[in-house]
Amino acid sequence: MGLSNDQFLPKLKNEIIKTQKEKKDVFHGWKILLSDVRSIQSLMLGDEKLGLVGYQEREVFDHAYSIEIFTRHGNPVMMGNSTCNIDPLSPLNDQILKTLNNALTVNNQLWDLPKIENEKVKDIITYDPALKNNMAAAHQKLIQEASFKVKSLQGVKVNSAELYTNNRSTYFETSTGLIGEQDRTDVYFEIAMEKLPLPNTQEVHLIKSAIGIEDMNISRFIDEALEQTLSLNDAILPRTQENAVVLINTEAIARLLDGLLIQMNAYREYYKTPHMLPGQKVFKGEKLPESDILSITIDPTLPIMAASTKFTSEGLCAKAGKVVDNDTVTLQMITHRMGQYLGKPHNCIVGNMIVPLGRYAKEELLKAQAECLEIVSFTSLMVNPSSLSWSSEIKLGKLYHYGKLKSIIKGGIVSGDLGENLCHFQFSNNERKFNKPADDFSTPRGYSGPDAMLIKTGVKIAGE
Amino acid sequence: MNNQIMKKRIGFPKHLDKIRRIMPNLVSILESGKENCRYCFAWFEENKSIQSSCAQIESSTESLDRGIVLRALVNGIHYERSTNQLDEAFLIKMAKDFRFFLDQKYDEHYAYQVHSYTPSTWSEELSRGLDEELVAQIPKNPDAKTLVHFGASYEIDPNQTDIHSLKEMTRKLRSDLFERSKKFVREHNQALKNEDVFEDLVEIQNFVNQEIKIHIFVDRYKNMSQSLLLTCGGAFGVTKIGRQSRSLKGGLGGLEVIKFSDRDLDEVSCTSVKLDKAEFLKPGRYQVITGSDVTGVIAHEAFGHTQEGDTWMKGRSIAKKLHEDKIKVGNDQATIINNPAVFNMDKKNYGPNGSYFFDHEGMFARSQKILDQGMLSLPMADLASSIKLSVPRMANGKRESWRRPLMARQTNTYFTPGDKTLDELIAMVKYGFLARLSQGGMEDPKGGSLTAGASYFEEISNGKLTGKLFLGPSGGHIELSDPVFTLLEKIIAKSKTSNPDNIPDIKFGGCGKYHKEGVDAGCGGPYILWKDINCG
Repeated sequence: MGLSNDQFLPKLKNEIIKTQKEKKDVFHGWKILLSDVRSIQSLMLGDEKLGLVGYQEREVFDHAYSIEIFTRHGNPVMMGNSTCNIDPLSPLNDQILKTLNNALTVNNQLWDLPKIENEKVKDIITYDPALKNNMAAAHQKLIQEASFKVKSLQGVKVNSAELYTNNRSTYFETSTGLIGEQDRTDVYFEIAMEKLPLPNTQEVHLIKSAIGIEDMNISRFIDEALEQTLSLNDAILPRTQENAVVLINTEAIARLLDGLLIQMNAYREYYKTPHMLPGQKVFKGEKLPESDILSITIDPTLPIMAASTKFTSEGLCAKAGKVVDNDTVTLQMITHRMGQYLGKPHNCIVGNMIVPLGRYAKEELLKAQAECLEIVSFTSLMVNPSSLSWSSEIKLGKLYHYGKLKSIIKGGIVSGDLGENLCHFQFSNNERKFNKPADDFSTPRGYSGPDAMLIKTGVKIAGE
Repeated sequence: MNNQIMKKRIGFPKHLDKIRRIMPNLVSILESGKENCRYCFAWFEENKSIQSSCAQIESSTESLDRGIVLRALVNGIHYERSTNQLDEAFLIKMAKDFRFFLDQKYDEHYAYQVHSYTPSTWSEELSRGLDEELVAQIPKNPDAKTLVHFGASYEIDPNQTDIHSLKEMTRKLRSDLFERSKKFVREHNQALKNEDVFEDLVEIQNFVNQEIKIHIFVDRYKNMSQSLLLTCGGAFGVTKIGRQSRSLKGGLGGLEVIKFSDRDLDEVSCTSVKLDKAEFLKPGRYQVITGSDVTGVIAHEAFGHTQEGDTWMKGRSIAKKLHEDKIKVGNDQATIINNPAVFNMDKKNYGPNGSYFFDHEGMFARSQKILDQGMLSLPMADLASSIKLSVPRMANGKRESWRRPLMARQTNTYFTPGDKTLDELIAMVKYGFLARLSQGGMEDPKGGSLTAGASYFEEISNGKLTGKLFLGPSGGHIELSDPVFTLLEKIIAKSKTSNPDNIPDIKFGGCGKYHKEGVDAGCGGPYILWKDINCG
């Protein structure tokens, strides 16, 4: 049964409509959001004989309602809005009136709420049927696969693992007639292991999120962790450099380019904070002719990807668009509200980032460099969306001379300026996807593109 | 510290009487007749918050989140069922289904490999000693049926605080900050006569958030609750090229905890502007003084995460072996405390946001030295790690919310104070920097390295601040990073506090363990002068 048939929903909707009629002088519009999340969570310890052994097993059932109320009030007329979670066991009228009063304290420039547009909502695959239909069985199967795989590993000690499987359904309805429903699934798996013999002071801790079981490919993921762990040797600090050559992986590319995309979001123009407009180059300084060029398409329709969606946050049909072409910004991402504020047509572009591949394999890129530091993992990569600068301690790196591994690197700080980085870079020719469902720390991120990026300008390292 | 101003405590809200009445029954459904092989408790939380923010676009939000967790510890595994469906019939059915699941899995012939856990009684806990803030709120001779409530204290009544009053505050603050910034730019530019002029800020954003957290814990020996009032407010200014500086105030209390000083207001309105002209730091090693928030992040990362019980339990921490081998990992000034029972600090009559009376497994708040003059103690253990490692249980069992698993987490982590003033520390520096405003941090508990961020550096030359500001080598914030042991050997001196309990300033903070599971975590300490730190 879909959430549109929720038994409490008509009661909530009727109460809101009743209040809107009573307060029609200020009560301009509303939105109801209903979410239903089922989650199974297993926290496990590594065990030599058994593989993985659970020490915490949880099941979560979360069914929640929230509303947003929009007001038009004052002289000159301003617009207010406020959101509130609804407690189904408490009087509804009090909660709606409180939200209305909260909205009346907010004074923003007027905008028209989005209405139904003449476009059919596309059917997008945002969930894995195996997870949606029987999450408990799918969860157990994943644990068995992971545990079996861990038991077979040689030369490492697995310390811990965590597995979360989630089924999330959302339903929304607005006073202007927009209605939508969407189901999502996701899997989170992390594993920590170290190389034998013990004791040692290095560990590999890898995290992967996926929308479906196939994409998670837990055995292959554990193999990647194993390969990384076995490659660990005595690590040294990197040398201090003012212009380092580095190679970064899929997740880091997605993080950096996500910072760039934030500047193409129209709200940045409205806030007057640093932003990019169509026609602007994405690089800063002199572009080297031997560098690759950057193009980015945003696409909400890719199946089984974290940022795929039928709807924008305003409830309109999500759309695709090429936002960067040939190093030049071609489109801003403009919501319905921002379009009105800035006097530009809205385009509802949201979704996954698609980046075209480069010409060379990662190994070829490394082979062509006298010295290159591959950053296997950052301790905590932070990208500043205003300055487009980024930095992190190096958790694990590999130093190559003409493609030959010279030493394992650990520690030191790497920082860069993305604008400068885009003056001279090369992408690999191998495609990889990266998915990170939304959490309390960030919006969903879906990336499909090169699995490596060689950066030859604008990177500094503080080390030995 | 004695409260100078009359404070009131938040009582237990009447609307939660019903759920509190149901909870012992839920525990009984799960546990009854199986107490010798099963330990169960029920945990309820209600988080009610109001927030107003003021920027180019204003917003206001009121949120209410409630949920319950039923826990059963059987044969060393912690099983949980949690939900926000709180009607009695649903909860009883959930408890009965849970009981059925457990009885099926562990039938009468089951051979248990792990001994069952027996919780402590009120008298056992009291005889172990508790902070006076807790003792003062416990009735005489409590037993399993006594409803005990702990309430955080406040000066400004949260019941008198609504979104309307927060909105007025944020609007006025934003307007004052813009005015202050424009005045600063005008006066500076006049003095410079068009040389190297500053530009006005393009945006100032600010917010105030107030949250009331109610927790109820029920097991076979206790039925207790706590009300925690957390208030925080912050503001930041942004320049046209994206440079920004901020101020954040907050802690355990009402609106009285977010008083912005002139220094705080200047940080938003003037420093942001000045950062437009900041130089970029050349990567390298420098002598650095860290202030309370950056110091706090270093404390939190340097042996904070390494000393978390579950990290020990998983074999993911370097600290266990160092503790067992009695290896010194810092100099005599390297003492770090984790303490959830902080209800006043430095010159402030309130506690930080990592404080509470009991943790999310019903363990009472007690202070613990996790690093004592360079020597590591036992870890901060939650119930799971305390059983597995056979170490004393501490009040470090926390969860992001009822939706998420419980882990061993830090509460308020801080370096102990020293005997200098900040001016005396600055005077000790020939050339170096004062690190301002934390920008997060991360630790590798197995490898023993840490990184802590600072928004910017203020230059010190020949024992004096020069007024010159520096950003990171690429124009962002500055990362301070070193192996923990090397770093903790390099503490030269620390600033002092006048607090009678010797608790330094602890800042409003949070922690996302391994990039997830966000919880409140106060981080703080004195100003610390470090011999040198790798900065980039």
